[in-house]
Amino acid sequence: MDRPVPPPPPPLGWGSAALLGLGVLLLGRDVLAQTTSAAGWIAALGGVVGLIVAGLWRGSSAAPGARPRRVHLLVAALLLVQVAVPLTYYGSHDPYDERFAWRMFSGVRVLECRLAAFETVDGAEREIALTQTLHVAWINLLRRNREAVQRRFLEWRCDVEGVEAVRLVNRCVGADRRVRQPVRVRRDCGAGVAPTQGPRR
Amino acid sequence: MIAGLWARYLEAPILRARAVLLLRFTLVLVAFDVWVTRMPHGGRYGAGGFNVAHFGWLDALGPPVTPGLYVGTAMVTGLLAFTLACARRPPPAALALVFALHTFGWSMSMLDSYQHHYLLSIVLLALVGFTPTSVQDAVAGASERSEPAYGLLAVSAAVVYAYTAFGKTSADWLSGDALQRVTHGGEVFAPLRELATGPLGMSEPSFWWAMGHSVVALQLVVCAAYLLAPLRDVAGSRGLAAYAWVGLFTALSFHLGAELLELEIGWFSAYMAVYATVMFLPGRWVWGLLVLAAPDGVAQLRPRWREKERLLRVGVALLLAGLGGRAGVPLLVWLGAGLGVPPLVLALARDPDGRERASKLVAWGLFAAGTVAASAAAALAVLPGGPGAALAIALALGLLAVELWHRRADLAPVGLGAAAAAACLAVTLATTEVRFDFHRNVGGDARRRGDLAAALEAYALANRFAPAPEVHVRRGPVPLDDGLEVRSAMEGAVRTVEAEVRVTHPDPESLRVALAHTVTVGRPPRARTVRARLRHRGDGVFVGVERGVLRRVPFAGTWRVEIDASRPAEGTLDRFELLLQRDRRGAEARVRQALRAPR
Repeated sequence: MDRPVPPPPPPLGWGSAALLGLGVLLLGRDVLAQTTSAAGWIAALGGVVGLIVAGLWRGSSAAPGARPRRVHLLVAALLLVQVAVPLTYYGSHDPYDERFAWRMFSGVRVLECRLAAFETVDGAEREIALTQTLHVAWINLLRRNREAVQRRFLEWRCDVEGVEAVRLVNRCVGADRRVRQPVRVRRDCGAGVAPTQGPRR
Repeated sequence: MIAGLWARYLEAPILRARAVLLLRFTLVLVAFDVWVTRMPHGGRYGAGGFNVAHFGWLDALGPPVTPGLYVGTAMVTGLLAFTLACARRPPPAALALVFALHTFGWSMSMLDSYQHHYLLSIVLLALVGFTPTSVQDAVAGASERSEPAYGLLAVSAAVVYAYTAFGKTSADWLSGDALQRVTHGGEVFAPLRELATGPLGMSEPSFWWAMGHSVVALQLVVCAAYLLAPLRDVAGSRGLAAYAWVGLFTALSFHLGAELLELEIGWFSAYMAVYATVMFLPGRWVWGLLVLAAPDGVAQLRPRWREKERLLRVGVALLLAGLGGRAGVPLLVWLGAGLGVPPLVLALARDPDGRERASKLVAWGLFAAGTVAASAAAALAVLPGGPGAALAIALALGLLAVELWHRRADLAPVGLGAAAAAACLAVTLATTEVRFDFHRNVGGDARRRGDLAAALEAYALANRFAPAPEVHVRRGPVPLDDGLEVRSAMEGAVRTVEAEVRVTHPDPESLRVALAHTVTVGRPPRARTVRARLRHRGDGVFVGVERGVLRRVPFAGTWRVEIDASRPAEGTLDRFELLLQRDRRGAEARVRQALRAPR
C-alpha cells in the first residue's frame, strides 16, 4: 500500500482538457440549434472524468497511507450504497417516488394534479371529503402519487366500519400542459390492493 | 493499483482546521435548523391517526408518531447538537446520537420529504468518523492529518451533485422550460436575457436552452470540485488550486442563486455554502476562519487583545445577531450565535493561560446546572413533547458525562454548552414565530377536520404567541372626494390586509367604499392588484379583508380609500386604518375568525 504511485502520464491531463473543450463546443452547437444530442455531454463528461482522474492521481501520489484497510473498505461500501440508492429509482416502476434520487425540481415535482377519493358503503359509492378526513400535507403526497401513502390510505380507510371498497383517482397535467394517464388505485376491503391501473412510469 | 490509489486518496492529509470547522458549523446549523424550520410543522405528525414512515420496518417497530414525538425529537437534537458544538472534543458516540436523532426525526414520517435532510444524515454520519479534535489543537498544533471520513464527506457531496445534474438532463430542463417554470416565468433572469438577446444577438429560445444547459454544467463543475477537495492541501498543483476557486465560486453562486429564486429548500443552501467555503478555500484562509471559532484565537494573533477577546466575541455575536434581526436574515442571527457562543463557552471554562479553570467539583456543578437548564428550556417550551424532551436531554447529557468522565475529560465546557443551548432554544422560541406557527397549524388542521373544540384550544395558544401586525393609521377629517391614503414599504409576503374606514355621512348605506393599492417602487412578481369593496359594518364604519395580496420581494406602494358618494359634500372621511399581516402573520386574521366560529 505504501509503494509510491507513479505520476499520471501527461497526455491524460492535456487529452482530457481537449476532450472537454470539444464537448463544450458540441454543447454550444446544441444550444444554438436548440437540439439535444448525447455527443456533447459524452465528450464533456469524458473530459471532466479524465481531468479528475489526472488530479486524483497526482494528488494521491503524494499521500502516505495510515489506517487499516478495513476503514477504506467501509468508506467504499458506504459510498457504494449512496451511489446505488438513487439508481434504484431509475430501475423502478414508479417515477413518482423521488425521495432518495436527488431529483430536485424535476418534471414529476411540478405536475398539477386533481385527486379524488371514493368509498363504497352498502353497495353505493360516495366521494370522500379528503380535507375533512386527512391532514392537507398527506393530501399533497397523495396528489404526488406517492405509492406507499396511497396504499396506507386505502388500508386506513378500509378500517372504517361499513366501508367495502376504496379507490383513488389522480389526474395530472405536466408543465408542458400534456395530460398524463390517470393513476388509479383501488382496494376491496378484505381483499388487498388491486394492481394500479395504467402504467405508473 | 486502484486499491492503492483509493487508500492514498482517503489518507491524503487535510488541514485539521477544515474538519473542526465542518463539525462545529454543522452542529450549530443543525440546532437552529431543527428548531426554526421543523418544529412549526410538528402538529401534522400523526394528525388524525394517519402516518407513513419512510421505511416499512419503522412503521412496524417504531413508536406511534405524534406531534410530541416529532417536536420532542427536534428539541433534543438541537440541544445536544449545540452542546456538542461547545464541547472541547465532541466524542464520536455523542455525534452518533445526534445522527440517530436527526435521522429518526425525518424518517419517522414521509411528511418530511426534504432530500437535504437525508443528505444531512449522510453528513452527520461522516462527522462521526472524524478524529475528535479541539479547536485549540487545530489552531496551534500540527496542522495536517489524514481523515478518511473527510473523503467520505467530499465524495458524498459529489454523488449528490452528479445525480442532480443527471436528473436535469431531461428534455424539459435542457430546453430551459423547467427552469422558467421553477422561477415563475424566469423574470429574475430578465437582465441576463436582455443582455443575451440584445448585444449578444441570441434568440430568446437559444437563451433558455443555454440557461438549461448551464444548470447541468454548473452542477458537474461543483461535483468535480468536491471529488478533488480531499487533495486540496497536499497536491501542490496550481491547476487543482485554481479549480478549487472555480468550484467555490460556482457552488456559492449556484446556492445564492437558489436563495434569490426563493426555491423554498429550507437551509440547504446555507449548509452547502458552508461546506463549499470550508472545503474549497485555501488552507490559510480556512485557518483564519478557525481563529474566529477558537476561544483564544484572536489573542494568538494579537496577544494584547487577550483580555478583551471575550468582550470582542460577545460584541461580534450581538452585532451579527442585531444586523441579522434588523435585515430580516435569521441566518445571520444564528451565525452570530454560532460564532460567538461556543468559543465564549470554551473560553469561560479556561483561564487566560489555557488551563482548566474549574475544579472537578465545580465542573460537575456546572454540568448539573447546564443539564437542568437544558431540561427546563425543553419542558417550558409550551410545545407538545417538551416534558419528554426534558427527560431525554437529561439522559443524553448524562451518558455524555459518563463518556467524558471515562476519558478524564473536562466536564465544564459541556455544562456551559448545555446552558448556552438552553438559552439559544429559549431565545429562538421567544423571538421567532415557531410556537405561533405550530399552534395555528394545529388549529387549522383541527378546524378543517371539524374538531372545533381542538381548533379553539390550539388557536388560543397561537394567540399567546401571535406577533404584532403592522398598523397604518391616517386620521381625517377630509372631504369624501379627496379620499385618504397611506404609504407602505414592505418586504416579505403580505398575506392579509384588513382595512377599516370611518366616515361621517347622513346616509352611509348609500356610499360605495373601496380600497385600492398601487405599487410605486419595485416590481413584485405574482402580485395581485387590490381593488376591493369594503362592506358597511354600521355607524359609518366600513371594513374589508383581502387575502394573498403580494409576495416576497421588497416594494413600496400606496393604499388608497376611494369613495363613491352621491352627495360628497355632506360627509367627511375621518379615519383610515390599515392592518398589514406580513410573512406568516396573515394567520392572525384567520385565528380571530376561527375563534368566533364555534359560537
